Amino acid sequence: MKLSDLVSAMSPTQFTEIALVLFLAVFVAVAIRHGGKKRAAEHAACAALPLEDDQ
Amino acid sequence: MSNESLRYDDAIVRKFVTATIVWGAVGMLVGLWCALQLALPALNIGEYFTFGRLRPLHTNAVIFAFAGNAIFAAVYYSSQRLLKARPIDWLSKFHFWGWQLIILAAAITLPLGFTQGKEYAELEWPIDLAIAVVWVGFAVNFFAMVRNRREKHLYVALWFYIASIVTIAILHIFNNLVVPAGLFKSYSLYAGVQDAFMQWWYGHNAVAFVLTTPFLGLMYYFLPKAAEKPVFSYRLSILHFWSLVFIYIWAGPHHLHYTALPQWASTLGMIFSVMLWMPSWGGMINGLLTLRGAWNKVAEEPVLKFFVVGITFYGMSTFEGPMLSVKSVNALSHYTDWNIAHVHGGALGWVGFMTFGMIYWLVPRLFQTKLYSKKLATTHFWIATIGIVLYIVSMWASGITQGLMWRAFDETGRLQYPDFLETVTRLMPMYWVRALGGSLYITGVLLGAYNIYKTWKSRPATYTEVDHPVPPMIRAAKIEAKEKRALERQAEPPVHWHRAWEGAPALFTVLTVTAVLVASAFEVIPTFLIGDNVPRIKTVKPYTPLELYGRDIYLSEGCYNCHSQMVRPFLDETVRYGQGGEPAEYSKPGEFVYDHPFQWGSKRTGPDLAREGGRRDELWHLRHFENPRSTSPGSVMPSYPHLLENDIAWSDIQSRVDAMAMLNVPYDAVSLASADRVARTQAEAVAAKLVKAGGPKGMEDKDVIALIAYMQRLGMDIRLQGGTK
Repeated sequence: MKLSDLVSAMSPTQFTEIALVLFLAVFVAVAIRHGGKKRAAEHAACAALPLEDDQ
Repeated sequence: MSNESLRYDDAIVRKFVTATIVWGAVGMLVGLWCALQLALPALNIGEYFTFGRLRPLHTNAVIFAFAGNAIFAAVYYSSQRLLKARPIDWLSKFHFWGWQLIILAAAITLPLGFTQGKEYAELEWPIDLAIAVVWVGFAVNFFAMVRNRREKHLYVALWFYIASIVTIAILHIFNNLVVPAGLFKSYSLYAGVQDAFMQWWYGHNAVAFVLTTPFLGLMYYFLPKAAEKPVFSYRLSILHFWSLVFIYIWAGPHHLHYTALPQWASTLGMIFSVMLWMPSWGGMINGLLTLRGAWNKVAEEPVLKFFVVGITFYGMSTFEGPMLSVKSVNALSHYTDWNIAHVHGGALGWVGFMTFGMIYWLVPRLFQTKLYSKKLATTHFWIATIGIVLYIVSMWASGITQGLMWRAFDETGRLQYPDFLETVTRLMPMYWVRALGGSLYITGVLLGAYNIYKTWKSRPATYTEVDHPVPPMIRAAKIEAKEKRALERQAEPPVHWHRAWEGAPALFTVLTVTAVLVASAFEVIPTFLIGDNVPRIKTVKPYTPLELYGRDIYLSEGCYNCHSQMVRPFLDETVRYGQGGEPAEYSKPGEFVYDHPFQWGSKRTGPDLAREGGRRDELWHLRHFENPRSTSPGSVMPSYPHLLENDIAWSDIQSRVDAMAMLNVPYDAVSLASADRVARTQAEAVAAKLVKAGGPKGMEDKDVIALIAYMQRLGMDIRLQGGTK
């Protein structure tokens, strides 16, 4: 079986649905991990980096 | 803290800043010239300075020379400080001089008509190879800094730089795969629908990864520096980054709504474009809120004025873009000046103002003196702001006028403006206002250049080189840390997973590339492999050798800058481009299977040409090319008298047919054996028709004959019996 046969057997809608689920999952994962307040101190330290460097 | 110290290489930043200003002025002046040519066709001068040849020069100059050099200045200045590492000096010089030579090569070859015929990817294959080499040099230099860094955490600006560096490499390589047919002639590996898809995958992501992500990196570094405040929300910047990287790469097909691209791909592009609105506005809000408590400084500091308006234009453009990608809006806006308004909102407002904000902040530090005149910088800001407003508002008015006039039917059911020229001449006032707006913007740029020149003049005789105390390299520290790992595990709190990624740049880069490639694969693979996407049409045959040569002239003259070849499935278009009272067939995917490259265009300053064949006789075309105003009063098309003088390069035709044959274009044995002879025979027949119609004799060797042959072929195959079903 060729790759083109395999791809043609799926409808374009199926590709887009798979992609949407994958991408939404990654987005939700990043959002959850960074959404809480417990990383606030760490984020503040990162945000200060440009102000700490030498000119 | 170790006893080590580091000197930053500011000389390379000074070079890139200078190049940004010089090429910015050149690129924008060429843009102004192009704008004036549309209002005053007499400004098309000779063979080499016509709109079709200058417009690619303008776009390439402002994107890759102005924005490109600005990006490099930002990257070299901020990365050294954020990573506490110096780039490799000889590689920095190679990067700088290599890039300037590429720009020079573009500035010479584009007016000469050497082009691949794809927007923003016009440069021919030897220059593309040089771009790849120089880009690899830049990447090596950047990643060498990352490797030798002395700061563990990669600040968010660096992520945007990494995403830009790797993605631009991927885009450049895949969209420029060609088969050469000479030193400055090549044919795209892809044809028709697939070529269009690749081109706009590239074109849209050039906007994303050349004109957006590097400038977001610039914003996340230089805005906190100028405001002397940290970014409003680092958390939001993380979401901003990953959302953009994941979503942007999908949006390209919105450039091809209602074309022969399969509808599923078009819809996918629209949905992801609308999704882009959220992260983009998240970024804009993050930028503007960084100034909380510092708005008083905005009133005093021109740097912050540029940044605030630049970020606001980012918000406006990223609202307008998703709106234009909605199919029903796009049906009106596509091919009109509305797109020109949109792109200049982003280019002049976002890219231009962020660049000048950065330059005004950098220049006193780089030249170790005070800015010559803050007042002049403020004047630059206000003049340029008024210029942008005039530019955009006039092009909005022009675009909406065009779109509405094209689709207007009168009460009898006929097109209200059947003569395309009516929709051109109506726009003249708007074209003059646009030229005024552009002139104001450029005046601001020239004032800025003068201000910076005067600042440079007051620099010290020798620049002070400061030795900055720095911690040990992370690499060296890692070895030491390895030996004490057990101890450190007890002493340190667990590292957050995302922060751990950020400390592992190789892994971080791989993840970014994966996001880009996976998204691309989901769109590209079905487009290329699902057979139903491009149903074949029996009657569609390859161009004859003479028509192929004529098509190359069409590319060379940049006709695609003003003419589309795509009749969309709208009643007004099928009626407008029909013949003999019969509506035209709308364009089908199968019509373009031998089009290397595709020529669907993105703007209709002139009418669509997909159904041009047989519409007029050969003599009309000859007179029209010689002087468009003689056949079409009020036309803004350049005159091409040189086409009636330049001889066809018969000896080039065989190599071009051979190159097309390598791309599986099924030429017959006679064409493969003696393409030039086949071409001569057809040229004599076309020339004979000219003479019969009362035209000049002796034209059979001239370029115009080949171009006429191509014009007369457009849309003919699908009209043959059985071709339309």
